[in-house]
Amino acid sequence: MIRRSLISLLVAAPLTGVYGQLTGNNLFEYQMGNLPYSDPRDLSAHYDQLNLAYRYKGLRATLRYEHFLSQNEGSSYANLSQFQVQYRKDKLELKVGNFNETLGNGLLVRGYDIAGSVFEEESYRSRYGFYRDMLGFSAKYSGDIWYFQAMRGKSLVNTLPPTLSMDERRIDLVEGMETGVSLFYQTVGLILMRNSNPFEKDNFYSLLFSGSIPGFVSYNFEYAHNLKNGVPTFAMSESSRYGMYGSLSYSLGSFGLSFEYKNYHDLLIGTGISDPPTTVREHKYKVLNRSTHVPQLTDESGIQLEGYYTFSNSEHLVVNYTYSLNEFFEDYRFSEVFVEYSFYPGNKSNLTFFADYASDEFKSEDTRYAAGSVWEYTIIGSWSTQLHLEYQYIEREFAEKELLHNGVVIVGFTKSPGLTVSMVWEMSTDPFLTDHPDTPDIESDTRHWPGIEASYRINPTNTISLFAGKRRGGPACTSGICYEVLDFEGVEIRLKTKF
Amino acid sequence: MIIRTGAMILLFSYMAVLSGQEPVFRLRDLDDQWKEYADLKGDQLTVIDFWATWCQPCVRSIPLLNQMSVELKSKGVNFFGVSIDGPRNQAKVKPFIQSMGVTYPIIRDIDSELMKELSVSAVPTLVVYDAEGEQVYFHEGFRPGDEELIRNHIEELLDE
Repeated sequence: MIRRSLISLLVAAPLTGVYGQLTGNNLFEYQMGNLPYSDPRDLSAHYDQLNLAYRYKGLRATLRYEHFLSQNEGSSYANLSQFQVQYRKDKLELKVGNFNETLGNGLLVRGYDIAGSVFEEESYRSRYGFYRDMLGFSAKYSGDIWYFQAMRGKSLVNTLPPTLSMDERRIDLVEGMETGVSLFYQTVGLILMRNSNPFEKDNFYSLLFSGSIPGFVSYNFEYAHNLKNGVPTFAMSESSRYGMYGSLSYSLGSFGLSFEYKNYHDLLIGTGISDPPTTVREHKYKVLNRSTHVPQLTDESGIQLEGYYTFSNSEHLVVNYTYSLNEFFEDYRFSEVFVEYSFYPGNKSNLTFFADYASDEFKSEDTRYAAGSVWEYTIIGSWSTQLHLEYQYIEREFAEKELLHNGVVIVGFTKSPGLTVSMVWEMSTDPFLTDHPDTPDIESDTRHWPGIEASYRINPTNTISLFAGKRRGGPACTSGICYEVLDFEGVEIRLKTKF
Repeated sequence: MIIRTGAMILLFSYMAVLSGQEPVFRLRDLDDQWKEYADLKGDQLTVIDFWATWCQPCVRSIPLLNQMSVELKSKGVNFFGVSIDGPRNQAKVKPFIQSMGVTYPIIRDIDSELMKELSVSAVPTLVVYDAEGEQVYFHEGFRPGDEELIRNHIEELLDE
């Protein structure tokens, strides 16, 4: 009913003389190919996501339409997957429909929408936009001194595909409010939240403290705890559910430093509506991004320290140290040291080096080294070339010690502003990846993923991209959210349109 | 299904020739103070740079945009940055950007509200608005040579 009304509003409003602004974008993706070792090798599928927004003064209506067509029986769908009506007047904002909201630092609840990402899960084989939203309503008042936010909605389990019903995909009912007072750059806040699903009903509160000495130091602290009869409200015991996160940021001239602390215990709420800060560096390099440490919310504590220094000629240095501890039936430690240095040799080059050392007991990877470089060179005018090299060495010990190697080479050519062509080659000696699942033997030959990527901006609002070859999957983190990306072998075409 | 989607795109593309409106938002800056578009816009042009701490091309583009913002300030061009970092990277935003000597204001778009409103789907993305609130330029990505292209485009817009 609400959806139909919204579509009518979107279509009818401009035609009735109520002139506002209509904007939108569309992502079309066609794939011919499949997962490795899967038949048919030339599986044909296409996905489309259309986002539309109509705004007239303070009123805004949006919708998202997604469809997926595949030869795989049962994975195709066509859905109006999101709709929202928003009203904004001065400091007040009201939303009905689908929305992404975060309370505090996300210790209790966080919604997100990773723009442009398409997710696929191996067992369902449907492709769909990767977001975790809520369906309900929210209200926000952003006063200069006092702020207030309230929400009620059913949260999406985004690992379940749109081929399932809404009841199956939206299990958690989240009701929450956040309020706070800000004075002299210091803020004190309180969150109350209830999460209900057929299996559990939990109440939580959270205290927030944040502030800054403008220009120099900023801090942010949150303590969340469940509210339950018989459990002390401030206890950090084995039987209680709690989360503590704190950060301190410092800047002076060209030097910057951030320090973060975390302590999470039994903080996996409902089907996973919470997403507290990981305090683990989000890497942009493939070998490091894939090896990232994913926090275990059953029990995890740790710190992260990151420093920046920019030299007078824009040379930039980043140093990071991370330590995490999981206390299960035995302790598992993760530690990482990362250094990155970017500089400009000559007036046509940009060179970045990185080096990384990590130890991850949870993955039985006691020693992990990685290093690499990215070199960009302007050939002439708007033509440039890129050379991207990454290498990783891992010592993993389960029953016996294994020495593993991962590598990435990317050679690219670019013509500003719109054309990029890259040849990508990845390799691995990891037995989890080199083994052919359909044979009784354990193959150990080096596995390769060669591919070609090309992107052409037809005009400022249309971009077409092509991938052909083999693409390596694995864990990946984008915009702070980590998820599993599947391998792909074949051809993929993407068309992005903005209007 | 394909015909229905195509028809919807055509219909809405036709309707998209309606008048533009400047962005509407109320987001916090790096000192947790609320900022609206009116607080940040320039007399002639407003340049909005969407970026993130984990984005390598952003790191390369930011010093060049900062230099451009200083040079064009007197011509009525205001720059401001929009950090799309989520809670995971919030603690890093301020020391990162201040160590690079960025002088233009930065606001935090933690829930991607402004990003969605302006149909931004990747970082870095540069969006330019004129004094009437009309979106006059949209540039996605950053490759060597883009800085000249962006500067030339802004100069052309100022000359119009």
